[in-house]
Amino acid sequence: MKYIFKIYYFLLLALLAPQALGKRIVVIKTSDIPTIDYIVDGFFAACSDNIIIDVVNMAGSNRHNGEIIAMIKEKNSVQPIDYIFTIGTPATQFAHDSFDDIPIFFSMINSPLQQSFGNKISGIALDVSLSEQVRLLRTILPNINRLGVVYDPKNSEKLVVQMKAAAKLVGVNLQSYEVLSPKKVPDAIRQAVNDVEALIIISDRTVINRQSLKYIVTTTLTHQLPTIAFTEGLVKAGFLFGLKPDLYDIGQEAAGYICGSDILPRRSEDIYSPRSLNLYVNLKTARRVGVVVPEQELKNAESILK
Amino acid sequence: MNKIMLTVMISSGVAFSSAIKANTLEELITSMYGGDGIQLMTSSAGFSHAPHFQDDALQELNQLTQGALESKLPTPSTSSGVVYQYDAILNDFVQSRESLGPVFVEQANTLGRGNVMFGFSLSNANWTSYKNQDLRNINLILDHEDIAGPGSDICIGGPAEACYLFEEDDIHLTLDINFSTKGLFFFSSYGLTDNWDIGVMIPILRNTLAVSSTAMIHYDESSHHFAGTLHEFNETGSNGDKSTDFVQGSKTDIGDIQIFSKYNLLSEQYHQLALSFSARLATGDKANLMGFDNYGFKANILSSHSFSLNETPLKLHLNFGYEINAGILGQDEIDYSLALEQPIKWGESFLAMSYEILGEKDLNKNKYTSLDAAISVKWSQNDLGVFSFSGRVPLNKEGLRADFIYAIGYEVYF
Repeated sequence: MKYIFKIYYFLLLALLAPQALGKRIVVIKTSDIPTIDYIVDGFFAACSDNIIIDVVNMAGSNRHNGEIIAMIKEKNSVQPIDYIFTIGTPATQFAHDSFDDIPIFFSMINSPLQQSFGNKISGIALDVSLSEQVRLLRTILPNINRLGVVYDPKNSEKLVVQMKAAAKLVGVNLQSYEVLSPKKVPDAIRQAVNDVEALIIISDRTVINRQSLKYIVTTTLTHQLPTIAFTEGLVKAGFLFGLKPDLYDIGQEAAGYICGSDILPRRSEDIYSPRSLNLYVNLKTARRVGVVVPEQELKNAESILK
Repeated sequence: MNKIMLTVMISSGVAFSSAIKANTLEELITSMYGGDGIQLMTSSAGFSHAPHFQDDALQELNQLTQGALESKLPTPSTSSGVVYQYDAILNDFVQSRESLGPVFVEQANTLGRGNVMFGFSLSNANWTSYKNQDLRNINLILDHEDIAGPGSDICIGGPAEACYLFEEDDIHLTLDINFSTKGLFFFSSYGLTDNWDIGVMIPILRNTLAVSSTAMIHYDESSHHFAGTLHEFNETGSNGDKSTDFVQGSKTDIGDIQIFSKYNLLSEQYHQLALSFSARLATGDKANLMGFDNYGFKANILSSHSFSLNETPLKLHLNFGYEINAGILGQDEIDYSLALEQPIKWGESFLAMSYEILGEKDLNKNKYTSLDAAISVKWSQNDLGVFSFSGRVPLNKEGLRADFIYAIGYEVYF
C-alpha cells in the first residue's frame, strides 16, 4: 500500500511540476525581417517573466521545417507547450499542418479567412476594419457616398460581404467589381473610376500585385479618384492614404490573449482586429486628386509623404 | 493465399541490318563491306588473287561510336524548395521557389530535410559532326593491301616509268552517317537533412546508327593495261563486294545509373556553396553505346549567388568538377559550367529563364574541349510541379557533336 501511495505522489508531482514552471510558448516567425521583429518585441514586452518563450525562425524557407518539428516535439515532451504563436502566413500554415495537439495563435496575416486554416485557429488579422477606414474617409472626404472595391470572389467574397454590411451601417454604398483573373483588373478599374467617388484597395492577390499596381495608381490618379490602401508601401506607391496596424502593438495584443488569459481563444470567431492603427498619407496624391487632408489627421499621421 | 508477383521490366529492343550481321552498334561501322575490308572482284585478267583494300580507315572511323560515350546527353539538375519572400508593398509573404534553377547547371541549394523530388527528362541528339567532320559526308581512303612487302611493288605491263603499280590503287569511300541518341532520364532526390541531399538518376537510352557508303576506285595514274579490269567491284555481290553498302542498327536499353549526393556548406540569403559527389555505375552496355563499361566518380563544387541588375533579380550558378576514370578511353575530365538565371513572377506562375555555358576538357588521350551554350525555361504553376524546356547548341566542333540538343522535363516535389 505504501508503494502505491509513493507511485501516486510521484505521478502527481511529475504531472504538476511542469505547471509550476509556468507557461511555455513557442514563437514561429516566417523570416528574420524588421517587420516581424516589431511583433516579436511587442510580444516579449507584454508577456510576463515567468513564461518561457522560444523563438524559432523559418528563415523564409520550408527547408528547415523538419528540424523545427523535431525541436518543438522534443520541447513539448519535456514540458508541454501551451501555445504556438505564429507570425506570417507561411509560419501559420506550417504550424497548422504540423502540430495537431498544440493550440496556435496567428498574427500578420491579411484576410485570414481566405486561408485554408482560417476557420480553424485564432489570431490577429492585419486587416483594418472597414468602419475605421470609412470613418477616416468621411473625415478626409466628408461628401463621399459611393465607394468601390475590386475583388476576386475566390479570394475575397466573404470579406466583401462583410464590407458591404459595414458600409451600409455608416451610410455608404459599396459598389463591388468582380474579377476572375488578373487580366480582368484593368477593365474593372476603368469601370470603377467612372462609377464611384473613391476606391478601396483590399488585400486580394488577383487585384493588387506588382504587375497591376502601376496601372491602378496611374488610372486612379488620372481620374482624380481618391484611394484607400492597406499598407504603407501602397501609399508610398501613390494611393491617397492607408491605415496600417501598429506591429509592436499586435505583439502586445497577442501576448494579452495567450500569455495572460487562461481562457484561450480557439475558434474562428476569435479572429481579432488590430487595436492600434497608424495613418499614412501621400500628400502628392492628395494634391493630384484635389483633396485637402485636415490638419488634425495630418498631426496624427505616422507618415506623410510630401 | 494468392501471390501477386510484380515484375519490373526494362524494355530492351535491338534491330540490326547489314550484309554481315553486326551484333552490336559498336561493330556496325566495321561490319561494312563484309567486315574484312573491301574485297574486289577476282580478276579475269589472269591474276589469281582476290584484291582487297584495308579497312584501317573504317576502324579509325569506328572511334566515333566511342565518341558517343564521351558526348553526354544532357542530364538534368535538381531544383530546390519553396521560399517566402516578404513583399513590403503588400505587407505579406509571397511564395516562390527558392529558385527554379537552370536545366543543366546544378544549383548549390538543397531540398531540405524530408523533402522528395521526382522528375524525368526527355532529350534527343542527332550527332552531326565528329572531330570537325560533317558526319553526313565523310570521305575516307582505303589503301590496297601490301602484297609484296614494303618497297617492292609489283610492276605490270611495261618499263618502270610506265607500268601499272596496282598497289597504288586506292578506294575512296563517301559515308553518310546518321547517328542519334534519345534519352529518357528518371531522377529523384531526397533531403536527408536540411543540408544534405541524396539522389539517383536512371537513364533509358535509344541509340540509332545508320551508315550508307559509296566506294569509288582511284586507279594508279601510270595504269595503261589493266585499268577498269584488274580492280573492279562486283555489283551482284557474288564475287567480291558491291560499291555501295548500307548498315543500320538501333538499341534501347538502360544506360549508366548515377547516384549522387550534395552537401550544402553555406546557405546564406544571397550566397550558397555546396559540394556534390556522384558515382557512375557500369550498368549500361558499352557494346551498344549505352555506357562506359567502367565506374566513374565525379566531385563538383557548386555555388549560387543572387544579385540585382537594374532592379532585375538574377542568380548566377557556377559549377566546377573533376571526373576520374571517366570512360573507355581512360581519360579524366574537367567540367565547368555557369548559368545566369532570371526569375520572372507572372501572376500565379513562376518562370525562370536561364542562359548556360557548359564546358568539358578531356585531360588525357584526346585532349579535346567541348563547349556548349543552352537556353532554358522552367515554369512552375502553383503546386503543379516544374516543367522545363531547353535547347543546347555547340560552340565548337571538337569530339562528337550535335547541332542541337533539346530537353523537355518535369519535376514534382513532396
